[in-house]
Amino acid sequence: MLSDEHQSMMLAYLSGLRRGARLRSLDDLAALSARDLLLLARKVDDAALGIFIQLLKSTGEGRTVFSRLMGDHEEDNRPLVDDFFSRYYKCVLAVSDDAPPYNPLEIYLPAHALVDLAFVQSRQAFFLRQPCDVINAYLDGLFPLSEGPHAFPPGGQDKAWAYFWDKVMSR
Amino acid sequence: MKHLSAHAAGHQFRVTPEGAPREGAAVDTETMPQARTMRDCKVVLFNDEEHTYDYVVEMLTHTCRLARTEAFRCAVEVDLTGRTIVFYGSRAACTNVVAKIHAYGPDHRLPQSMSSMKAEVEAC
Repeated sequence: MLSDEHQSMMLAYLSGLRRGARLRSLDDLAALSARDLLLLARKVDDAALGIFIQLLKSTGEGRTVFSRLMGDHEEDNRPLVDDFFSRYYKCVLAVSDDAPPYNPLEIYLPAHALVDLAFVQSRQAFFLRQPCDVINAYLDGLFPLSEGPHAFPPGGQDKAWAYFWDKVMSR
Repeated sequence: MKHLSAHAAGHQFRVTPEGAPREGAAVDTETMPQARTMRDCKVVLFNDEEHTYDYVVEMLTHTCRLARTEAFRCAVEVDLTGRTIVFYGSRAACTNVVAKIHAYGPDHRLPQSMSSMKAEVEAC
C-alpha cells in the first residue's frame, strides 16, 4: 500500500493530467467512469503506471476498479483497454518477449546459494522445468567435468536433478 | 455490446458467438447438456505477497495454457481484487489444474518465496 504522502502526490499528479475536476481523494478516483479512468491511464507516464495501479489498489474498491480497467466490458472502450494492458504488460514484466537469452538457473540458483539446502530443495520444481540444454550448461559451470560437458538428454531432468542434488550434498 | 475477448479464462465461458444458443437456453441437442456438465466448476487463484507478476504469467501459461496476455490480465485482477478465475471445466479437470498450480513451486525470482500460489476448485 502507498503511504498517505505518496497517495497525495500521485493524486496531484493525476489531477494535473486530467486538467478537469481535481481528484481530492481515492474515492474521487474510484468514482471515475471506465472511460475516464482509461483515458487518464493513457496519460500516465510508463514509469508511473505501477504506482498508478498501487493507488487504485489503495481505494479498497479492487473489484470495481478492475472492472473499470476492463472498460466495463463495453466494446467502445476496447481500444483503450487493450492499450492500457499492452503498456502495463511491457512496464511490469521483468522479462520482455524480446529479451536476450540467459540461463535462469545461473541467475536464480547461483553457486553461493547452494549452501542453503532448504532453499535449493525448494527450487526443485523450477530446476525440473528447465530444458536439459539449460541444465547441462548450468552444471558445466558449477561442476566442470574433465571428460567433457554434461549431456543429460531431453527428458532427463529427473536424473539431472538427482545428480545435481548429490553434488550439492557432497560439497 | 460486451467484449468478446473479455479477459482470461474466466470470461471465455460467457462468450457466445452471434447466432449460437446462449448458455441455459433450451436446445434440442445432446451436446449442450454435456458441455454444461463438463464446465460445472472453476479454478480460483488467490493473491499473496510471495509471487511476482512474471511468476503468475509464466505459471498460468504452463498450468492453464492461457496466452501470456490473458495470463497478465489475470495477474492484474488477482493483484487488485485478491482473486481471479483462471480455468473452467469439469471437477476432475479443475482438480487437475489446481494440483498443477500447487506443484508449480515457489517464485524463483524472490528468495523469500517458499511455496506455490493457492488455488481452489469452486462450483459454478
